[in-house]
Amino acid sequence: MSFAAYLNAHCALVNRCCWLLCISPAIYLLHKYHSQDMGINPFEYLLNFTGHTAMLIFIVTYAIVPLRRWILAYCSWRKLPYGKRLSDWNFLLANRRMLGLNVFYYASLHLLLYIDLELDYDGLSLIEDLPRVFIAIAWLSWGILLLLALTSPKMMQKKLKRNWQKLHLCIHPLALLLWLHLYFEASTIDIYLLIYGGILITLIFHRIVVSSYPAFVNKRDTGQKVHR
Amino acid sequence: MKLNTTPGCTPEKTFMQHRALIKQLLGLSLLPLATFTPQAQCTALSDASITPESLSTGYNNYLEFTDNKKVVRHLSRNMQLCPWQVRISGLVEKPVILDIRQLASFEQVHRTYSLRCVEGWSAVIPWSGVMLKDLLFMAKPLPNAQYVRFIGHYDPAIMVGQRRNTLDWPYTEGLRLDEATHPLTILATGMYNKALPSQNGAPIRLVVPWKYGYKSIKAITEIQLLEKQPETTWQKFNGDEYGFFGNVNPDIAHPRWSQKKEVRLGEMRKRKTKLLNGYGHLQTSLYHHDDLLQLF
Repeated sequence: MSFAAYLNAHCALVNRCCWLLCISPAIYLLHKYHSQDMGINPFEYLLNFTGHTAMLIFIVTYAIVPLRRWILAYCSWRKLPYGKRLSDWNFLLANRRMLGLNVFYYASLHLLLYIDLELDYDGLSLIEDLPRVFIAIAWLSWGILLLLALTSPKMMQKKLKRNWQKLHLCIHPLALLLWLHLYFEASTIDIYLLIYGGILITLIFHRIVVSSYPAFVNKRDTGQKVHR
Repeated sequence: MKLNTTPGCTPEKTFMQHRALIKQLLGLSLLPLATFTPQAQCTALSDASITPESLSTGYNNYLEFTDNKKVVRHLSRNMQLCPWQVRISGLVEKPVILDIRQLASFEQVHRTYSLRCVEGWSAVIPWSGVMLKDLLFMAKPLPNAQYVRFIGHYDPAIMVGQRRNTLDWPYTEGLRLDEATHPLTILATGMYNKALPSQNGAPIRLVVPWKYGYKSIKAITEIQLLEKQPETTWQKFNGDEYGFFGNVNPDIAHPRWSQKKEVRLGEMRKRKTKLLNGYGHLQTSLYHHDDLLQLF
């Protein structure tokens, strides 16, 4: 557990490493694009790659709060010397803003590729495509992501005060919308749909249980950094 | 010579003229036809746009194996292709059981068609095989036969996708008799001047160039002639999205996406889809009584 203590003492380092991890798919994709090595259907590859990357980073972002709770519960149960305090896992929270912004970046890239390759910058095609369920869901999700990204700076957090918290509750419907986007796009129930669905249901279920049973509510755990 | 066709596809006129040209040649016509054989013209038209073989054989919609198009090639290796029989039955004077090797005695045709998948991708493939009408006429359809039903191979031991009920196995497809006997409709036994690979539907598959790819059933074991329109596998699964006719039509959108454009395998940018996949003239010969819009 000393490793966790080390990480907790070096939040900035953890943040940098996570940032590198987040941009590595983009570098990989750029390399693939330049070497023209995007498989048999490059159109499909580009859209799938950016979409799945955004989804994966979203899941990591969304998992942080429950994950911190689970690790805490595990450490208390095993009576481990380190990790029984909320503040022991601050470094997990330090990444959320950066991770969330990366979800927005990859989703925007996904959207740009759709506008370029599928719509070919044609306004008429855009309007024709809007009534399709998964497209409508996609625009709505991107709108939410944009709103969250614009209000992500600390300055905005201070300006919006309590409303900031309320606004960022949008992440819960967003989780559902992202999955529905995939569901309505797919022809048959494929493996990704089941894996993403399973993880997201677990994460949402955790939040429902925690918020509806007072016994589970840890008043000190507001999802914010805790100072010792 | 102006041809009404998709670039890269054998125009109907070309092969219709095939026999006429040979007759003229045999008749010692004075025209210098030797330099203008249909075969030469066919390759000149299609060479540039033919999809590389590695792409057509590495990206297959073959749900009998898996829904992962790139894995089909590996899973289909164990297909037992020999012996293989195709049974022609139903409303025919003379039901036949045809061994796949007997197909060599039929007139062999070479056609370069664009295969347009309903999902929005396409590939230009040089097929070889026989015309379906030759097989059907051998069995002599009865006057009341109106439709043809095709049934694909069923063997969950090898076709592992059939162990799951993703679709109602075996794969079943159908055509109207006039569509089936149209000279453009072929049963392919080869592509790229080689035997048909398992992942592309060996040993024998249907190719109907003006319809979406799901109509072109793979690994056929049975052909039945019927009076009434048969229900196909995809119709049972979702008739609104995959209709019986499945004619390529850029103006009729799939419920979940536009059909206006398609992406050729290996390319990144989409190109426009043509009415009936470039065989728009069939609208007058095959569908003149019907509203094409209703024939999805």
